[in-house]
Amino acid sequence: MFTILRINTASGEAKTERHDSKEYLLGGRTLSSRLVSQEVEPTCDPLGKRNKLFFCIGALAGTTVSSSDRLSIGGKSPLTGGIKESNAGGIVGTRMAQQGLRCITLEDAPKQDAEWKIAVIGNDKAELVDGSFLAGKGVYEKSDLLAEKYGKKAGCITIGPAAEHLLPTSGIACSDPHGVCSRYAGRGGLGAVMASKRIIAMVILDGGEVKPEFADKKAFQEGAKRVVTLLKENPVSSKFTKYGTAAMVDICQSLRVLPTRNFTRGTMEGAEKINALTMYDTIKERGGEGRTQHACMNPCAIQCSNVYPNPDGSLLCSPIEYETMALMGSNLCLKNLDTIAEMNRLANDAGVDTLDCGAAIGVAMEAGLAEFGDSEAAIEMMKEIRDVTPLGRILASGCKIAAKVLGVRHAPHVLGQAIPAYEPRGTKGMAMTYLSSPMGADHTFGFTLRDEDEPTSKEGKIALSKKFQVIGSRMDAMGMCNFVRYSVRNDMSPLLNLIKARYDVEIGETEFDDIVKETLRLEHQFNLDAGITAHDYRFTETFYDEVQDDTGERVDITDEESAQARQW
Amino acid sequence: MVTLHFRLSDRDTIELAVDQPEELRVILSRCDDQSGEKIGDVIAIRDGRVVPLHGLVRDGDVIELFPAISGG
Repeated sequence: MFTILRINTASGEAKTERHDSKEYLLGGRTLSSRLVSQEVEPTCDPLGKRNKLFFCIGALAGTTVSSSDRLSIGGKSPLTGGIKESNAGGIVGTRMAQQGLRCITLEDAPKQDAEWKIAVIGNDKAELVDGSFLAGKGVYEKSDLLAEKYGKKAGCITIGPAAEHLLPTSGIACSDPHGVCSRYAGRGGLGAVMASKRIIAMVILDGGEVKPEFADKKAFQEGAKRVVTLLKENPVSSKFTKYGTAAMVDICQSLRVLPTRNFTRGTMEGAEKINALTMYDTIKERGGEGRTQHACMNPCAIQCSNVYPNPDGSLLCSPIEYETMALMGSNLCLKNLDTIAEMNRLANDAGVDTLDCGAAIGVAMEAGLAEFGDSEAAIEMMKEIRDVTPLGRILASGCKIAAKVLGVRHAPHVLGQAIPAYEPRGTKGMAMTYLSSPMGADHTFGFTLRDEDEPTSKEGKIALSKKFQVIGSRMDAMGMCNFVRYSVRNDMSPLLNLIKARYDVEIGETEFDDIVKETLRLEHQFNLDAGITAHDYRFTETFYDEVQDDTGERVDITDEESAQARQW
Repeated sequence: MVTLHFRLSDRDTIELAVDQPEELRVILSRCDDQSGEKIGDVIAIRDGRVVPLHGLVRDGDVIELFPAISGG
């Protein structure tokens, strides 16, 4: 049996329910998206009392299996108007497992002038306590205050000033193994949903005494070791260990899909100044707190994260991911890792998504608010976001709204969510994926780039995108890190055998994929019921009309073709 | 000669003599034989375009090879 804790944020009442279905067993996105589909009225105001926020852990959370403690957060998105699942690493999943919770739900909402509350969970109770001392502070300060009050080992979740002002690019920050709220469920504005319920933080106390039980402990232990072996032997995941996702800078530059100058180009002269090797060498040279590899959760055999230091070795930002290096780097024609790291730190402190804000700043530069390549201006715009100034609020509303306000047509988004770091005219597989995701433009949803024989052609890309929509969604479906997929993409049995050894429930590969596809069907149905039509799954017209100079390509995918890629 | 630049890899650059056009998979197999270890999945890029495993490689080609990874 699996426990869901429901917290009514208006009354403060907390109650638990027990369930015993496969969706609760798998947890992760399988559970969060089903709960959103079942319990949230699709046409509701995402910032109103009818929306709910679900925090779900996966089937193997709290065990010794590498990379299995992702936290899946679901709700209706204020950014896209559709369903949203955003997930994060960190230790919150571990703490929830130790408290015996598969899911925590924030329901209802108090009046908007109600006092801020912290939901404190543990020791067989859940209560809302005063959180007003956190109000208006940045995420780093909030994180310190929470660690001081509840201990560094507590699993803390908090939001930034942008969320407090209900801005639609605000994310939810979760504590990492060092007790710092630096692991983001960044996309889709779920931070604003949490704020709309006047919950400024949630704390899952350390000291939970629920230990995982196993149907076959020996088989489970052997299976957990097998996963580590697969991760270490796989040349792809092992490459992450050294360079992290930053390795994509050179690949995208070579393929001419590195977002540059507000997604008008696919290459940036001087891209090597912000690539993986430069980052690796800089971190090594500066030493101190810098780390070229770092685990966002424990245990993790991949350790793709990093800690980027200041010149004196003190911590500047952790982590810096490829998507941020592109959206806050090449997309703004910035060629300095320190600038990108500073912007990333400001985004983390403001509690906003780096991709959406990077894209919005690109739009602002195109509108003439600053020159492309102007590091100081870019940092100042991030400060405007953190300080929630009028311009900051526009930028933190995402590139779609920023483009409308600033009079720019070329806004890089689908369903209002910024396009990730693969310029879609140069990779029709990724373009198809962006147009197919129920979450708005999302690269993790169906990552085709490495398997496209001819990226600039749309031929075969419906099937390719759908293939990788399933492969990518498998990991989300059970709360695993997405980077485990390389080791099990052709054979899910190592993970499904672990489920069998833990729960004595057999889920075959076909049945598992059917569950994954059913999740996608439910997500698309939610969007349809919310009023999102086929015509909304489009890029702005400029992507169809104007050639990207480096590839000579336009987006040529029709509504009918993208609709096929959403059909399950 | 075909020049293969291995990026983000412990390997550096390998040059191979190619008398007639050969598929990339054959070229990579020759690289494996030369270095004594398997290269694993790669993204091969020539002049900004992906070279598929069945794509032909010709004398004078310069190819960049990256580990086939994704962003995060």
